[in-house]
Amino acid sequence: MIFNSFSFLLFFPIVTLLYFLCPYKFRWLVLLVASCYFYMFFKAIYILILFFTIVIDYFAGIYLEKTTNPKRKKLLLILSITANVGVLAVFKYFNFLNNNLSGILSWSGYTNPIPLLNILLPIGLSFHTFQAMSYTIEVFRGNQKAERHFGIYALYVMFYPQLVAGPIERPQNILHQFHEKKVFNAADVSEGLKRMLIGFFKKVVVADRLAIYVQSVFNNYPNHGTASVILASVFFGIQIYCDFSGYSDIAIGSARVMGFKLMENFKRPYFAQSIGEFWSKWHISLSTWFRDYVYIPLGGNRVKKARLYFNLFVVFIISGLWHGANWTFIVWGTLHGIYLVTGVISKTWRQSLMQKLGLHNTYVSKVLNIISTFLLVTLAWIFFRANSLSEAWGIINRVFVFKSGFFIGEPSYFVYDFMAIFALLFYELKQEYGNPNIKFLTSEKLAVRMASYAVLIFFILLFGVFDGGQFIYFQF
Amino acid sequence: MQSLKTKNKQFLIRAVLFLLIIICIDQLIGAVLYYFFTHQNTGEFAVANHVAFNKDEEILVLGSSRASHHYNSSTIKNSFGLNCYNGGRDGEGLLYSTAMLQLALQHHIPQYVILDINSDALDQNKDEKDKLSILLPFLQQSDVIKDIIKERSPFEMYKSLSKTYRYNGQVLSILQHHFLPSSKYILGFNALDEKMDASKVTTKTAFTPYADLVDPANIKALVSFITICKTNQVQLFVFISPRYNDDTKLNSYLKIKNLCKDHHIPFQDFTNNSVLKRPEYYADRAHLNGIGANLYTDTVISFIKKNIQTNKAMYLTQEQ
Repeated sequence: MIFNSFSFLLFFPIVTLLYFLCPYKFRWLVLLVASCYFYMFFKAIYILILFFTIVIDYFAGIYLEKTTNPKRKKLLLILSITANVGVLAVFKYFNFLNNNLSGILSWSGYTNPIPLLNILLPIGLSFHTFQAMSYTIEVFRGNQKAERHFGIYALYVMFYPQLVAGPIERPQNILHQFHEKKVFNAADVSEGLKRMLIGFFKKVVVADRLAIYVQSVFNNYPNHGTASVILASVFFGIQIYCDFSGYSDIAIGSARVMGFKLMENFKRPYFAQSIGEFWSKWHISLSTWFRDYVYIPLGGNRVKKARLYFNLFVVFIISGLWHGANWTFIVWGTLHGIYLVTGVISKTWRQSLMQKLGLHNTYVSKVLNIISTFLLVTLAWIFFRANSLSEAWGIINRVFVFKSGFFIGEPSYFVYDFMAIFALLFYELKQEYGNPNIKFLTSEKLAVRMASYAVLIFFILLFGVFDGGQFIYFQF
Repeated sequence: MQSLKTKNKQFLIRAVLFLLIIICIDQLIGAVLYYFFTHQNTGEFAVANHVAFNKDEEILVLGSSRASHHYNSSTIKNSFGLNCYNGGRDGEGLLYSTAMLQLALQHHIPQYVILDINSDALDQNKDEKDKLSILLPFLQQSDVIKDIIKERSPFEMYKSLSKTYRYNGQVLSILQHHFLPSSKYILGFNALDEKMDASKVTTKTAFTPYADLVDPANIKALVSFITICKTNQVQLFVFISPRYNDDTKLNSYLKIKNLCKDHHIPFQDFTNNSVLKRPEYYADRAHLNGIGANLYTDTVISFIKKNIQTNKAMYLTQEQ
């Protein structure tokens, strides 16, 4: 089930109502059944994959806590991680590796005897696998007690708001919340609904609206020139942000309505002044996962420079691979690794240049930093969006083809695109730099608050793209 | 300090009030937009409105962009001495045409209906179903089209309870055609001025002929179209207008042909009409330009006259 569907519009209030009406001791069951139903909407049989890792990690957690033998502990952790990574390897990476092997073998004159697997990638596999792994790692580290209630552990992995596209939660933040007795709280409901409304706005008014232009240009890029390709690339940057952060808003909001507090996943990343800052604001639950479970164990930044650069590269290449089994994602991750390392190396030089120009820490330098960061991220998105490296390269080449004419498509849709972007920019600027006393959705005045909600609702009804399709990050 | 119970109670009362206000505003916006929608002077919706509120058309042309660009309604009108209107619309298919016919018959029954159909009209086409949302404003006028709208999604009728939603994505276009009218439609006919660059187009097909999958909903729509015409004693003609390249999808094509044959509907396939197989008559490989359209309209007129004169519903095989 996807959030921007009519089915969810029915599912959500029914589940919420059942949750609050049900006696406390059965509430976990309501949520678990609802989550299974939510997941089985995509491909019912794949629930068995989830069940497989849930059973392994549940028992691994308990034995990890019980055992005092460090070797056995390590063995249990390896077993749990192998099971999780193994599922990922089979369903997500097997065909990719096999295809590459075929390429290498055919280059050397041999034929690959291993057949490709005819399987679909289970939706959101990387998300719940990583969430499951964070549980056993935290139990191993002694930061989290093993969960004895099987149903609640299953819910930790399967909680429907964040099951298929995060935020990738940590057990310390969410597990205990499933044991708490949640009561209907108007403040939580109001906050949650408001957050969901913002999420729907981002998804259907901005992301899916811009997707129409982006698809028209990128799916037919050989016929477009500089201006259209640049605009489509910028639009895609905004589209993917609104698609994913919109999903996170709906996830956080729908959990909040029932009293659950999920971690934040985005903090207006396009106002970042460097790539490093961008990654502290973009997909926070994943970047902190990599920080805690990959980057720091590799030595983090308390190592020699060469090793630091190596660590950064490793993290971003794995991050690219996490997104998808395609060289385009690896290049995307590598590009971000290059940006970060170059940023670290050139930091002193750039600062002294700015000082010489008298621009250090001025508004001009901040704006320049924001724009340059956005452009670098946008360039990398081309690889993320493309189906192959040759396609990405083809799109980049089109930037330098100064073809007359500029693709607009349906003129009214083009106007809606800019209306949506301006509305988003207004909201984000207000959040980032605005006067905290001027409020709309959070105003103390009921009339202002209501009017703001109403404007958002009618904006969605009039300009939203309904049934626009799945969220981009579902494929990961 | 208010207790949680009081706060919750207050919240629920406010939520219900807010919902009521939203419903009222929704109805108001819907009413205002319906006014502008029905008072558009130009554009595709003005053409659709003309068909839907049809009062005196005796000959109605329905179909996709190929209908809109290929049938010169003024020529047909002069030739038959009967009012004629072209209700074809870009990017729309059989479901849309069936809906427009149902709407048109609410007010007036024409003598003849020309349905221009593509060879792939019966094939599965999700885009075509998605586009059916453009019919939502007509629900205000009549609910005869609701079964067709349900083809888009079973939830579409629930969504359309919001009067504002019915105009989703159409607001600017509606206002533009109301306040800044500009159009080249003449009695619904929209002649194309372009001339195709023949060097870039081949007459050969790029499609696998029998690879198409027929959609039962489209078969139902064509049968329904035929039945409606028969019930209302409207003489129906089904044509496939010329194409520069022959992209005929055979599964769908043969089904159309058989359905017309079974129901004794005059059907003629002009895809490979030898007179019109010249690049100078085309704007692109699927659309005739104004010169080609005028020639084609004359061909159609003589076909219809022949069939009217013989006064029998004929079935003709594909013209070679």
